[in-house]
Amino acid sequence: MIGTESYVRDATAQLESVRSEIHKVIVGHENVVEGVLTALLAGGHVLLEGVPGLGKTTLLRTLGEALHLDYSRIQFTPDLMPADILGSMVMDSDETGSKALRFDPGPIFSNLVLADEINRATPRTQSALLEAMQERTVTSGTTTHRLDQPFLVMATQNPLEMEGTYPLPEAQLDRFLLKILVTYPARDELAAIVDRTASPRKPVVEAALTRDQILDLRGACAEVLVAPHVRDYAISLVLATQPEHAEAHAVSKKYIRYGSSPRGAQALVQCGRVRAFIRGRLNVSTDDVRELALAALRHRIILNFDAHAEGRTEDDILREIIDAIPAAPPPAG
Amino acid sequence: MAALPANSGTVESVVDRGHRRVAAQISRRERFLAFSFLLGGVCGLLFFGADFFPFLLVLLVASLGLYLAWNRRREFEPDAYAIAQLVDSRWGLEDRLATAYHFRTAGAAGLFSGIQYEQARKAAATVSLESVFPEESPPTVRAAMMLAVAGLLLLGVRAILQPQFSLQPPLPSVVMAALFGEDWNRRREAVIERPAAAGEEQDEAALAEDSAEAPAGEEAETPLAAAPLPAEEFQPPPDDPEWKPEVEGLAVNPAEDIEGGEPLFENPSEGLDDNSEAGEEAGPQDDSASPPEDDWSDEAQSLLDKLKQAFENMIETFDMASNQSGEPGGDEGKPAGEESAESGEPGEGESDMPGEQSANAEMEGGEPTDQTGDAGQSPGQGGEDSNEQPGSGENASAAGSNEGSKELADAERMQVMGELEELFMERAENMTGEVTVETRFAEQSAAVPFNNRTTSHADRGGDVSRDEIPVEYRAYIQNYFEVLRKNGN
Repeated sequence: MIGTESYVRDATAQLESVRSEIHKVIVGHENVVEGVLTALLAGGHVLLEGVPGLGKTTLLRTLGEALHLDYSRIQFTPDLMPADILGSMVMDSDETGSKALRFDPGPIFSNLVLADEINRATPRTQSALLEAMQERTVTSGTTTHRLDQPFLVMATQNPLEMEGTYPLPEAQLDRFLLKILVTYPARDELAAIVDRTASPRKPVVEAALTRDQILDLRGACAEVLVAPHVRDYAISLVLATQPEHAEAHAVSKKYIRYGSSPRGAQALVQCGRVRAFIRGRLNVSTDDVRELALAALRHRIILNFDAHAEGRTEDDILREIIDAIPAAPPPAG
Repeated sequence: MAALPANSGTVESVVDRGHRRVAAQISRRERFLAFSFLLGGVCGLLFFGADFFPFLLVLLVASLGLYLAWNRRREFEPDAYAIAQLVDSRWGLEDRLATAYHFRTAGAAGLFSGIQYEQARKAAATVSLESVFPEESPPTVRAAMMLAVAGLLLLGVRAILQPQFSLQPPLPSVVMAALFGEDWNRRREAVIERPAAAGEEQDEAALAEDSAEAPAGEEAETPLAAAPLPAEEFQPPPDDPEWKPEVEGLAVNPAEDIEGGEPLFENPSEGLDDNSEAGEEAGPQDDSASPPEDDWSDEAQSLLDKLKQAFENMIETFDMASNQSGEPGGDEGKPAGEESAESGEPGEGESDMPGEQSANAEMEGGEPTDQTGDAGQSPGQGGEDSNEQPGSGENASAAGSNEGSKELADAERMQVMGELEELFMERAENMTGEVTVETRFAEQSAAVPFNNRTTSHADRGGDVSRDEIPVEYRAYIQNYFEVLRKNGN
């Protein structure tokens, strides 16, 4: 029963088992696995950025298996049309021979959707995801279809190849709860990957959570306590990225053209709740917010020309801001 | 409120104990701040004395310290919620304590409030407030200690140096009195009692200084000696029994110092002028003593007469020069005068007014006389020589000395011009070479827009009539063509 200490203990153990099941296949990438789980339990979507071959697709497939959820993969190409994602009306005839239009759902109708190389599709196709990601519905003609819960879009994009791509518009970027950078594995991790690939026995991932349990965990995470000073810290971080705001940090005024939207503060608190719950805590701490700030804010700020000219990245600037804003009150006196 | 035992009780008890501890630390720090102000006031009293730093001021400084301490205590003392955050931050409780304290005191109930409070209580049991808020010596304690030591030192100095302990005089006076005896106190009192006469005393002291320096200047018999000397170079006159050194920092009573002696100058500026004049006079009048004071007005009058005479000579010279412009002797005269002026520098230390002498030399040396030329060749005595011939400007007047030379000069000039003309013509004929025009490195546009117009030229015929050459140019043009023809041959 939710609200008891035993429930919290069991839930924490279940989430830990999900992580261990995923790590049967995925070596390393702790932050990526935790980020994807966080986004799933917070009800958001995640954007993974990394070079090909780092196991992004494998991660989502493994997550689907560990959570016993439907999984679909869409490879985005320039000629991909919105109907290819959402579905379309098709003429269907029944046994009597009468014909009628029937909605044939697209691959978006899954619990876990991998939008691979999302920046290769045209803006028209990319925007087809907007409604599904935000409203969890798909409208075809005059009919609106509700997507099944939980619904997680995990989009990937390649930071190297920029030719022939359509960078995601800010409105769509803002709809991703987290943007996680997938980096190269370390030496020992790479050794483990090679060993597992060469092994004739493929790891079997068992389902650790059911769909209903995931929805219960979502409800439980939303009950995690957030003290005012933690909330204020998240707000301070977001306001510090807005160059026109009075609380803006100096580096924001210099390098940021547009700061984070209020969704940034929402994401910090939401993800902080999930992060605390995964760690068995029932209150969000400022450390949770600080750890999540990069993933929650890096795709919500737009740098100006000076930043690009000086080679500054979003992470550089955000780290400077995070370091400058104190989490705890100053010592007395 | 009785202190609770460590590691006992609820989240609130830990927060309250931490709050009391921090409040006590802040209170102690601010008490020492106020005490430092009080000690600072006492130190001020001990140093400046009650004459300049009365007891009321000490009380005022102490009150200011109390007010500041109270204000800072009220400003810096954190509330209980901030204390809980500090405990979380310093003890690594991941905000459990602050969250539980807030939701418990605010009365907000959530699904996990009870469980979270239990988690916080378990965490709070591990907190050691002595480690979270350690007892440290605040900087105000160190400041108070330093001020206390300083006060004790000042008190000790006063107690040692004063025969009868008193807080009235300032410490520097006490120290000076101990070093220089009672004379210091008498002088100090005299200074305090006679503030109104300070202006007069200063003037008289200046006069006294001048009178003390004047005999030395007379003995040296040079203008330089009459000028005021730097303090380090000043030597007392050996034969003046009345002379005594001036006490540093005190005004000298001029009535005592120059008693029996006549003041040399009525004011210092007049004295300076006369000194400079004496410097001028010392040059030509080698062994003569400085003039008596009663003859100074006559001396000044004679100087003015000389100046007037020099100006008249100069104006006359300019007139002559303008009348005889181009005369070689006039051009050569000025350099000769300048030369003699340059030679008049006080190389042997006999004169300190080279500017005036050179001015005189310039005024007097405008004529091309052999004497000034000779004066320029004797550098050591040039100044004296030029001064010794004050009338040379009149004697060497050029009026009438170049009678009849104008035609000669014109003839020479015409000859020279003719040679120049020939040279120019040769140059014009033989002019070769390249011409480089520098322009800005930029897109250029003509000031006047280009307009391509075609015109038709028609030979109207006709000869140039000889009568068309102006009469005044005929000789010149004829000469020109003759020169051309000659060069062509």
